[in-house]
Amino acid sequence: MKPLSAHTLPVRTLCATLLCLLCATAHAAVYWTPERLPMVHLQDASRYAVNPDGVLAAATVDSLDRELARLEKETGVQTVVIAVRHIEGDDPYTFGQAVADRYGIGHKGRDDGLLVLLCTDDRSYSILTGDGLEGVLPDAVCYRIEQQVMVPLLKRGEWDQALLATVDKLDRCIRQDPEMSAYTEEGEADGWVGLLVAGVLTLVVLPMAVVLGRRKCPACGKRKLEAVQEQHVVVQGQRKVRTVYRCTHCGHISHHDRNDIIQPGGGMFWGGPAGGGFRGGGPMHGSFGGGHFGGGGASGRF
Amino acid sequence: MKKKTITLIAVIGVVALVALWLIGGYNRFVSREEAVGKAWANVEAQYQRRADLIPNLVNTVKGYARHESQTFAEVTAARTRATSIQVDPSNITPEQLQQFQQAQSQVGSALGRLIAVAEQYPDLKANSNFLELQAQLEGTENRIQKSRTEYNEAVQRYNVSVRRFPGNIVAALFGFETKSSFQSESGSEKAPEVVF
Repeated sequence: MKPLSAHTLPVRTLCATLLCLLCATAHAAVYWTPERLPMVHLQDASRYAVNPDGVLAAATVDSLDRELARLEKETGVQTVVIAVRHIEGDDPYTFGQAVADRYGIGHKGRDDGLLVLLCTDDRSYSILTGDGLEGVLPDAVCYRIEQQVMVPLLKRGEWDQALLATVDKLDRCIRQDPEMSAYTEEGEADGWVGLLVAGVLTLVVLPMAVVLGRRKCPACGKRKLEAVQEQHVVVQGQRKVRTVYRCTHCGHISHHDRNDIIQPGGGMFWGGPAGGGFRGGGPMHGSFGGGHFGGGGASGRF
Repeated sequence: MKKKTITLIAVIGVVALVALWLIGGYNRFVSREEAVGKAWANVEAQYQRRADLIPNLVNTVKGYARHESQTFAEVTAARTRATSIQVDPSNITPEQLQQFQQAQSQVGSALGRLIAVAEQYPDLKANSNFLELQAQLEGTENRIQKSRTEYNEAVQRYNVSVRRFPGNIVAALFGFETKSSFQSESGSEKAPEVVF
């Protein structure tokens, strides 16, 4: 191997530096659009803070998520907090409104969506309220919160503190409203639908599935087979579970073998080696309720 | 005899189908027209909201800038003119809409001048009451824009269903006509710039 010559090292360093710079600028140059912005709440119902550029510390995102989950549970208010470096168009109101319109933050009819946007490198911010929050958070109150709580911290570059304090203040304002704090999860309408779906499932789909799931009798072709016995057998050296069926129509006896899930030497396994279909422990998907934002709130720059 | 019965049943069937189609079409037009009316009511409410802010704003600015009486008079006059224009929501003609829009855009530009005047008074610019009014004004301008967009969308939905074949036959039969929407704003309609 040839030793490094005098000029290869600087060239290499230069290349590496350039590459780093390129990566850094590529990373910095994300000008988010409402379409591209990842809505974390949709993937995971327990998340409310959108932090794609890593503007906020993980602990901040965590505590925002927890506070906003509690707020939604207790007051129904659905909040999305967005912290990014740049947005396309550099207009925080238009951007926030577009996000709210696109996803329908808040519940339909109650229109209790709330959106807090911070663009650190654009140095702009916005608090937008759904129609149902305009009573408890009128524009002037949003403005006051921004001026008294948010902007002083933003001017010092304390993004985490600024958003935590702002959300905290908004939270307290919302809870002061007796109508908001008297919220109980309106499961009635959904409950009815759920009940109906469950009813249809049990009365129609389930019997159909049972009937269609039955095997056809090899003798008469009717789906009238009834399992009468299950036995463990060994077929060509493999352990199988054999189910014996009797046709209730013609009385023909038949059987079907399937692989024994208890493999010799191994434990139990599900779904085969290709990976199970079980999602156990994964996050629950969230959704927005189709709330309406009519343009309320306040935006500004710092 | 039997052939006659079959024909009769077929005719009744076709008539029933046509009737169902007519009823369905009619109801669709009614609900879309209703949506347009609702959107228009919202547009008016938002403009009214702005009009309601004006006296308060004028009074606040007056406390600091007494000599700007002409600006105050302009804003008040524009407001009076705009609130006097009544538009019949069930029959919005392009002329009416034009008139309404023109009067409202005059309010907008008069307000813009008022804010520009106020910006020249440092004490006023630091007055929290004024600043909050300014924030409210900005929010109201946003609401106006939003309500106009939603009105136009409702009109578009309605108009498309009225114009499209075969719905247009039903529409013509029951006298549903296309409605006019807001035209894209001329420069004067722009919201007054609010600088923080």
